[in-house]
Amino acid sequence: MTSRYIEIRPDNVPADGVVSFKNGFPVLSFTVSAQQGLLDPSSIRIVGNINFYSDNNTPIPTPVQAGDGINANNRLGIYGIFDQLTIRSNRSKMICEQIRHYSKWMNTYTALTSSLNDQMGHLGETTLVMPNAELFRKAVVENNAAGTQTTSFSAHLPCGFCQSGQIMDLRPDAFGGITIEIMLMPDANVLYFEDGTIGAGKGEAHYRLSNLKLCCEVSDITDDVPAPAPQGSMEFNTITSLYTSINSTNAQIQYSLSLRNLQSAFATFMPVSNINTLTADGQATTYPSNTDDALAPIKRVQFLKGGSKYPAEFDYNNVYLTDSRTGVPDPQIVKGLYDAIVPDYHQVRSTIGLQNFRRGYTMGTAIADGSYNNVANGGAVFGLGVKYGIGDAGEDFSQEQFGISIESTLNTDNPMGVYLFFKSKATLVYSQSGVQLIQ
Amino acid sequence: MSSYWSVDDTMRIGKKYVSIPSENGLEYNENQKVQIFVDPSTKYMDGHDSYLEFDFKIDKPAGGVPTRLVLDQLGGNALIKNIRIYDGTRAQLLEEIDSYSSLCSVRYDYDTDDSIRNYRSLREGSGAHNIANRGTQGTTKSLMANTINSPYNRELSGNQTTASDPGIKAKLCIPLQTGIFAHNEHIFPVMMTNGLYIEIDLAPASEVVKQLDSVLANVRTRLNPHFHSLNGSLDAPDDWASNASVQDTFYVTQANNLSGADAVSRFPFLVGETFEFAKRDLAATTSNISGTMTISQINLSANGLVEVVLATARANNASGAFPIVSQGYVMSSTAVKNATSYNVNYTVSNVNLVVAQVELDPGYERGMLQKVREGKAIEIDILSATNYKNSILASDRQTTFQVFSQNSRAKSLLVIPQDASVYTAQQAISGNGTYEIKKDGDDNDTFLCSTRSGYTGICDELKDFQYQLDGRLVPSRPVDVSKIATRNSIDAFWCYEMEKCLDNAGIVPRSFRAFQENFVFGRGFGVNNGATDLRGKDLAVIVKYTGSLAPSKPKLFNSFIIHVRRFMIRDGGVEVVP
Repeated sequence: MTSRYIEIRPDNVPADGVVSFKNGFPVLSFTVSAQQGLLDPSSIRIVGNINFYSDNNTPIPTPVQAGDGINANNRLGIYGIFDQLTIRSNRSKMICEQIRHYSKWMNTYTALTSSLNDQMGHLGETTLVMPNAELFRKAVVENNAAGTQTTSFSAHLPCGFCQSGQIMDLRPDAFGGITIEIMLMPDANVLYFEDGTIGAGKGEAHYRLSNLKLCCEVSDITDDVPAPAPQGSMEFNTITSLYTSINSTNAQIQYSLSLRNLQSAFATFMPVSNINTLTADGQATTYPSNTDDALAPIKRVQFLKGGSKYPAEFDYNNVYLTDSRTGVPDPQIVKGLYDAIVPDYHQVRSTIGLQNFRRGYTMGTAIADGSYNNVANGGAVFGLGVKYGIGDAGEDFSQEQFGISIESTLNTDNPMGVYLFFKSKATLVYSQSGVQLIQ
Repeated sequence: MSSYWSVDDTMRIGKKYVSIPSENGLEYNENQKVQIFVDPSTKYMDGHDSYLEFDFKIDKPAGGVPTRLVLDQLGGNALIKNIRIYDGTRAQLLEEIDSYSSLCSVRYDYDTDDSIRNYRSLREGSGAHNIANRGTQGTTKSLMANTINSPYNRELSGNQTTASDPGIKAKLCIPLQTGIFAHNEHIFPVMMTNGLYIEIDLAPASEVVKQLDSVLANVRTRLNPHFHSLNGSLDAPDDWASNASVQDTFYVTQANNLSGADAVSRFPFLVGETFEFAKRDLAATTSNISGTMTISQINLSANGLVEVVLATARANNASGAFPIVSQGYVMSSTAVKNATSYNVNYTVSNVNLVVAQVELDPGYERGMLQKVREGKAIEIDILSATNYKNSILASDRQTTFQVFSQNSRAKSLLVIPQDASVYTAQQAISGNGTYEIKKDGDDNDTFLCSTRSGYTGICDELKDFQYQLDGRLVPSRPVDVSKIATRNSIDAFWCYEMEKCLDNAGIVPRSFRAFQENFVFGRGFGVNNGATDLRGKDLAVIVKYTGSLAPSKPKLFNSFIIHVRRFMIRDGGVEVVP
């Protein structure tokens, strides 16, 4: 069996090959067509160039340059422009996997599963991730004086369909082809002005993608290979996400998830006023905060199942309750988030530490010294997490509600966006009549 | 092993966390005992995911001179001197680790990297390098210089004009590094042992409480604030000349990141703290000032330097031409070092063992009970450690000591030669007169003395070591460590041996950074995850201190035999096969 690397152009690019959310292309779509081959989904890379512009002038917009003060989230790199990832069966167009709020999830995932060396090394080279906001601005966002710089990327797609280690039979009478759709993030949620003020004539700041392609490895199937089974299934872990907001000192979040194998869940926070605006980084992952930009420490957390405390039969009482002068996070809350993302006995690389998990920053303008944006080791990290059960069977939440009870010092009118991510086992069943995703 | 995305085929096993309070008190101090009983109703436990949670506060001596005190870089595990785990009847000792913190220090120093270190600092209050308190003078990275993110001291911001104790209560969550708990990858049937009874002996405070490295002349001297001038002039800084003229204000340089708006927050000394000056490149040379220098104010001056104001003006009395010159002298705390006594203590409170209780199918439980009732035994293996102690005098240059091990499945021998000198609290906390990890005048740190004498290993001019196992010398040639003994280099053969030894002991050898600060040697007994039966065999450790320099410290050898320990559970109780 021989293998070959193939390059696939996007399905929907305009004539000039430049894709821009601002100019009407919010979705990027690639199709790996049905063929006599086996696809290794882990080899899929989205490759292309990205440029950032401070206006939308025609025919030539002005590249972002030093002094413009425009930046994007450094820990996300190229993933900052991925709002939603959808993988479909090309034959039936039915969804095989879908992860919404992809970049928000990636922010916490990257912080917990890669080291600073990873971020400065291979992740920096391939996905433009950087462990420092200023470095990211200078290396990725800002162009050279002549405006001729182009930043290339080659991003893998962390998702269950691609990374679970299974091989896809692309033959028309097997699984067939697949379509990968990436819903692009609005420019206002990717870019932000570090001083919190949109510069004169720069309100149309945006990013553009060019020379896009999907690269992957396909192994050819020779004639002597038996005919494929017309139906089958594959299992992988995937992410389900929800969004809500809280605005009180005692927030109750309850959802009927209908997930039978919930392995873990975590929640991240961001002031609603910071989302989708050029004046703040809406993709950071920070503590809840009050209107004065000071953080609103969380005092007590309960994870609930069917209204009862589970899996911990006690409250997580934050160390803040013991001594409110402390700036360090609560160790049990840290453990909860770590366990929710890092598999047992598997991963030991992360960037979380006292420097970026502490409460020693404010939600003021990103350029300020004590800002969330200038936190060492990649920027602020915070989340509430919980892991269920042993192994990947997880916990059955198909009949009972999932809940989080959060007691915090959020005592002003400053709604907090809460992104909830649930990791669960999914089974993808396919046949001639289509695919079905069972969770 | 599963990845984040791939699915394993385990059956559904629920897990919940229950919090079990200690049973013999609400608060504990140094040298006291903590007792915890895990009730048989817990049934099954995932020891790996269980942890001890408690609050910790350092109690400074009444009337003591202010200084920042922190817990040792090992974190909460440093507080455990010994640990014993009995079955629920308290009749059968299942596991005992004597000098627990000593073994744990090796684990945490050698199985570590930046990711692990940072995570431990979040959970367990361990030391971690802090960028804000970084050294800029070529010192080795310190894990004990944190003035910003410390769990034990709050950050002080703005000019400091009055004495303020930054000490705060910390919350720590530590995995118990024993075979039944953290190193157990299997489910432990607590109900079959009638519960578990855990006894923890707390360590002496003077062993585990430390000052910051950045205030001690004997520990990374160049990490301390450097004298800049009396006038604070960036263009023409003046020295503190040796004459009768008294001074009450001086400035420190921006070395070691004492710059910017947060410079005072990063400044490691406190208002009220006493200090002297030590020579930057030869720490033993200290200033001769007309009286005790006590800090009354710490301010950020207009020129960007930190200004230190003394409570009482002093003169530089040094005889002859001995000025305190810019960048040539560093501040050195005398808050602990010069105290006549230092009765530091700590309080451990709100102690809870958070047990990960596993919810197994009732049918499985019935099957297990049935098996026991039928007279069969349930066998459980854990990876544990037994400490065999030996001691030698500093004058002993060639020694052989026996390790009377009766372990049937020994994996590895770890020998930690720790400094057995008796130090006062002042010496132990300030690293004054303790083992010299690097001699005074070192090119990087200038001076590096141990502040962890109670439980870390020292090389102390060891030339080589070898073992006699069952009548044979192993390895066939002595392992030469004379380069490590020079305090300037490392021996390759030692690295090779240690890699095997640590791996066999279940300690992933990720880092040898601590090869000087926590010297250890050992021998792996098995290859390919095997083990050796040491019953009826002699095991002797042969150590030679026969280099050109004599050792300086008496030593206590903690010889840990890492072994597989078997519990055989029958209807009548638990039998332990060591």
